[in-house]
Amino acid sequence: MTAIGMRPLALKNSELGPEWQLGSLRMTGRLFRSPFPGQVYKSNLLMGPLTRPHEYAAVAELEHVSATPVLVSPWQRDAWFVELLVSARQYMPTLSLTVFRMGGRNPRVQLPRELLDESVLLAHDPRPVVARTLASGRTEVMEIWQDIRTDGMDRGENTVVVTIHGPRSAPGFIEFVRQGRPLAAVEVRSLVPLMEA
Amino acid sequence: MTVDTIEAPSVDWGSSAQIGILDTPCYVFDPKLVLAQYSALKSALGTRLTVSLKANPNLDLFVRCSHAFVDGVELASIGELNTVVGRITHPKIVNTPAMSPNLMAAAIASRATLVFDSLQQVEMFSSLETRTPKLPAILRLSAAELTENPGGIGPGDHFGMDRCDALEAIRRLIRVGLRVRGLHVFAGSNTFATWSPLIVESMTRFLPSVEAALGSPLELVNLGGGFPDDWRSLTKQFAQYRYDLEPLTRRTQVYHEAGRAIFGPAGCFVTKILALKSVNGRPVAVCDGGLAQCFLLAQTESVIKRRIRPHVFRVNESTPPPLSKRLQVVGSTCSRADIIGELDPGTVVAPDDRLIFEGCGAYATYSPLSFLSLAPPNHYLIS
Repeated sequence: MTAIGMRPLALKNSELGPEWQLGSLRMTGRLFRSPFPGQVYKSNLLMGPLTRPHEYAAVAELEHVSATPVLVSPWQRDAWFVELLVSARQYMPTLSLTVFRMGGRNPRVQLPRELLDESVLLAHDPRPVVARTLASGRTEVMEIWQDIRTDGMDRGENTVVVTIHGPRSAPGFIEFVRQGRPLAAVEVRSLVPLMEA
Repeated sequence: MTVDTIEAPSVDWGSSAQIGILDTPCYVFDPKLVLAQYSALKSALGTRLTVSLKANPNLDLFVRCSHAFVDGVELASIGELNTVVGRITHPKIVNTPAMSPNLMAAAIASRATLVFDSLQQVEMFSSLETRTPKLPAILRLSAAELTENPGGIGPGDHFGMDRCDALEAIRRLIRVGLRVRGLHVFAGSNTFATWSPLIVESMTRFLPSVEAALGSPLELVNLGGGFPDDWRSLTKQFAQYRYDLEPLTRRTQVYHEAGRAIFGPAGCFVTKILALKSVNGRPVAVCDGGLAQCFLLAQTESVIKRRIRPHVFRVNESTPPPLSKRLQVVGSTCSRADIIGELDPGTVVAPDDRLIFEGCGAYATYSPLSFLSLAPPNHYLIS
């Protein structure tokens, strides 16, 4: 693993070892600030319609210890995913499929059109579907696993893991991690080649 | 850390070009300022600090800041309990003289700490049947009675119980198997400078009687606070207060609570000028928001009104001549009390321009919202 701090600016391709050329690279990081610093957004979260004690008891079961701050609203998280997607395509025009981890959603939040594109797949767990896709012979697949908190009830640590599977996209992926504007809000902790494709 | 070493966070609301595109009337809250205010006040006090959610119950703001509110959040209604339940593991403290059996049961189900305001609430608790284990309770004392100042100026309010009732409450709660972990007292808003020393002294004096009734040391006392939103200006009072607190902090865990001091500077109210006119030679700006959305700006409860001077955010591209007289800023109701500010001579202003009132982050919900069926204000946050 290569420790690379807030951004892998000084990282040379040779430091990754020869495996990266096989085409699978993984960036692991953590959202450490809002991707939209200074932007004003409308307060839209709604409280649940609780009135009876047993309803409070049920919701209290969702409580969990967390020191991870909520940095974005559900709308902003989706907007950031769109920015990630658009930026990734600029650096990796060969991308054929992007799979986002998208867990339980706020029912009031409409998905952005870009995340409903035919080259985008939303999955509770991307790993099985990515493995199956790669096994079918398709490459140039980007996998985005995240547990970004948008509400106090969300579990997660604002982790962002972006993996590229595809030899043609790998060089662009390194540049994307280095320079992609949306990733400026991510503290990149590692960028490593994966042996298994 | 002392108060004079803590810098006040600043924000230039008017520099944000986004002000012009917000749906007015509206509030803009800055979570970073809330977090900075909380941290600074807690450091200045050197004690634990609970957050009074009534000062700003906005859910998005709470979600952005709650990770820092480690000493607990005080709640006064079932709606506020709704905001918090499921979202934090920090202490939830339910404290209201208007406790209903449903709120008490919901609070217990939410694993909240109850603050008993009266012996009647103790009886209510004793007759409740709930399955959830109950957390040790807190008793609220009357500030006026505790300081032996009944009916006098200052904390002569209707909150809490007398000391003899508190001792009786301890005995009754012991009988039903509930431990009392603390005492709470609050002398009222903006009372820090005048009442806090007496509160500390009185609480310290009462503590032995409480511990005798409990048969054990008291775990905590919450002394309220009544901190104004410009608490940083009270440098000498904070230094003396920390000194006064020392004997009490050696005996028990001391808490304070704050709302206005945390949220007040962290929000602004924005309204749009709909029309400018002159009435009997007096210039007036009629705005789309006022008393109905930001009640406190009208200062209806103040005998001597010191009108706020809002910042002007120019949207109208015309260049009208500067005001030659002081201009009155009025809101959108048909109440003659709906005067929310003034602009000084020399100010350049025109219809569509936005007026930004600073220091409106607390008690934004303290408004007669249903009057004229006017739309409630929008709420925005800064990322």
